[in-house]
Amino acid sequence: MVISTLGVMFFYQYEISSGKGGASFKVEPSVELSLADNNETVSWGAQVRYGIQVRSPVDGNSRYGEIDPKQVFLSVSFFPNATDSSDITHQKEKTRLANQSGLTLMGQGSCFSCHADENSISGPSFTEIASSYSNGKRNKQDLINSIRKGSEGEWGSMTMPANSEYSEEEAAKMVAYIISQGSCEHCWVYPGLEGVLKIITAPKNIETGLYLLTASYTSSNEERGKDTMVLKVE
Amino acid sequence: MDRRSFIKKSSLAGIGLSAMPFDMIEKSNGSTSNPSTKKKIIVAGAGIAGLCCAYELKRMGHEVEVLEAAGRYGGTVQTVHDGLAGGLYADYGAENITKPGYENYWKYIEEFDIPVLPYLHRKNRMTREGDEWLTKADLQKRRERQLKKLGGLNEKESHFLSSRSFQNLRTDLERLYLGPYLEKFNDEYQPFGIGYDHLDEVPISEIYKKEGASKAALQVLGGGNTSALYKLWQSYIKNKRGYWGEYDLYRIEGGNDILPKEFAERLGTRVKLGCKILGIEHGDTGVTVLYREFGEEKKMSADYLANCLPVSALRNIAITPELPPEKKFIINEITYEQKSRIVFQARTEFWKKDNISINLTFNHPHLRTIWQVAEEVDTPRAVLMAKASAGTNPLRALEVFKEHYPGDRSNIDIEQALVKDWSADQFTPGCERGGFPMGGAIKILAPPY
Repeated sequence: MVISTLGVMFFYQYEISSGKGGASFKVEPSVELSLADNNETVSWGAQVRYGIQVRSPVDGNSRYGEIDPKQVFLSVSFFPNATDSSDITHQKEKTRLANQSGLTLMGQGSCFSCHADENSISGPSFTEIASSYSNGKRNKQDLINSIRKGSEGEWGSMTMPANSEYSEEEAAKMVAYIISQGSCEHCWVYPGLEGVLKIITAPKNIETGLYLLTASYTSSNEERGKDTMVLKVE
Repeated sequence: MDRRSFIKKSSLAGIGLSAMPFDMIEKSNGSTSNPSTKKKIIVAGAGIAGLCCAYELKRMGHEVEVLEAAGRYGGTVQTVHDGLAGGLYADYGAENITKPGYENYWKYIEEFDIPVLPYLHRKNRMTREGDEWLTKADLQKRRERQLKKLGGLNEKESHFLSSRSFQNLRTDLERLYLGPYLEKFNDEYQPFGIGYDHLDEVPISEIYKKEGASKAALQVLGGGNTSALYKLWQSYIKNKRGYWGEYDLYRIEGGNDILPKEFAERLGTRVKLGCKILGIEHGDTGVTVLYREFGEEKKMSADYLANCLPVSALRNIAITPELPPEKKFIINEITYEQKSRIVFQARTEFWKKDNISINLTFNHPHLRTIWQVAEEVDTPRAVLMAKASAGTNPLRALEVFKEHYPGDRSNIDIEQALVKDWSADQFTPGCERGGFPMGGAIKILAPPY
């Protein structure tokens, strides 16, 4: 388990300085990811229960329900055949996380009430949306319009409400995130402060691999804190 | 409608008393007093299913504990009183029951002596089409004109319809064309392997065409996007339960959450609120449930666990040993509808000044349909309930109401707007189960998966 000591330190520093009335500088929230079994190695197909604790000098502490769970995410990437963390190509991961502002915007609305990365509750999943983009059925503007103006009957009987509070630019960022997340085969995103992470069953010809877990929170003053962890699968 | 009219349970003659499952439960009562057959059972979830299940298990003599994550029981059955004046109420969740149908529900209404009222929210309904408000008669005339343009119904259809006593064209036509297909079903839980599996990939409209439906009938029936297998299966269930066609709607006087309350009262502290299940571990001799109560993780063991959680909640529970892939697949694939309930409180029954019905279908994403509830409460005020999409802002819904209200808009005296967005409720992820897409029933439910 990685404890974000730096974040904790800043947390106290902020409190001291705010006591003097000089709270003008920004401080990252502290984010702590923990796994129920505390193991650094998991088996194929396993279910791993996780929890994320967030402390933000501006918003409060998740322990007391002061953190909006819609702004807390666990982003998960799987790297087949990687055996130690130096094998993880951070470049690929960086590109994906570059679209993070789209995810933060989604957390501000009610997107995750109906949509999810793979298995949705109600509306289409990111995977389905991304494939409707890659197969040419919908272009980016169609998706932006669906977000801002809503849609009806495009994906079965469900109605997508209009989200006119998002600007065209914001919706474009969200679309960029959905397409990159939905088209990434070994990437998953789970909203909320806790849940069950499902490790994939062993793909053909692959015996080992690494999971990179990134828990993140974006505070109301738009400061982002995160905690990462690497899990070995065998 | 007479505001004070209501039906006490005594006038609901002959309902449910002979329902088989209950007879069987009553007969088995004797044997469960035997300590060797008495079991401890944890019921997961205190929605209406969990409460009912726990109540029956307790009645059979078993020891039950119900674990509910939320601080209230009832799940998607929830009545709102707070914020409404003069004893008014509205149902945020489950809104009505039918007769025929709901056999077990009616049995409990009888058993607990719960007053029930007829619910007339589909009577005298007016529907907005384009910019026009149409009565049922107007709508029917418009439909008839459209049908005529398409060449009208054929002889077989007209003959069949003339023998029907009620006027629901679509259901009647469905009965005509699908009725003969239903004979092959004999188990509502098993739509597969009876010769229709291939129909999961065929739209039901193809069946209508094959059976010789007229162009006009095809227009009424639609179904170009509905799996024929799914449609036949659902029609079989509706027919079997007696509500494929005409039925009456009812609600509980005082709010539909009275039934979960009655169950919960009989279960007492066996219902443990604020206990979120995190893990379920099945061992050789029983089950251990890991749950959290105000930040503290706890364990509870029992002989059995009865799962009464929606599958969307199960997705976040670690279950060991792992469920078979078929079950996991179902848990991941089932979808639920997400809706908002809008509730307006008005100072008066203002629509009466305009001499119109308040059963209105706006056909607007912010406001689908609206109607009155709690009309028996003795107050000049009135409460209206509306259906809207998930994420709807109640003030936007109110604006739509004012903009399109078919009477004099200066008469509108709505003074309060409440909303329950079920999609934002962390404990009840979703309302009714969504339908299966084309090919989905086989993909999701059929063996061998």
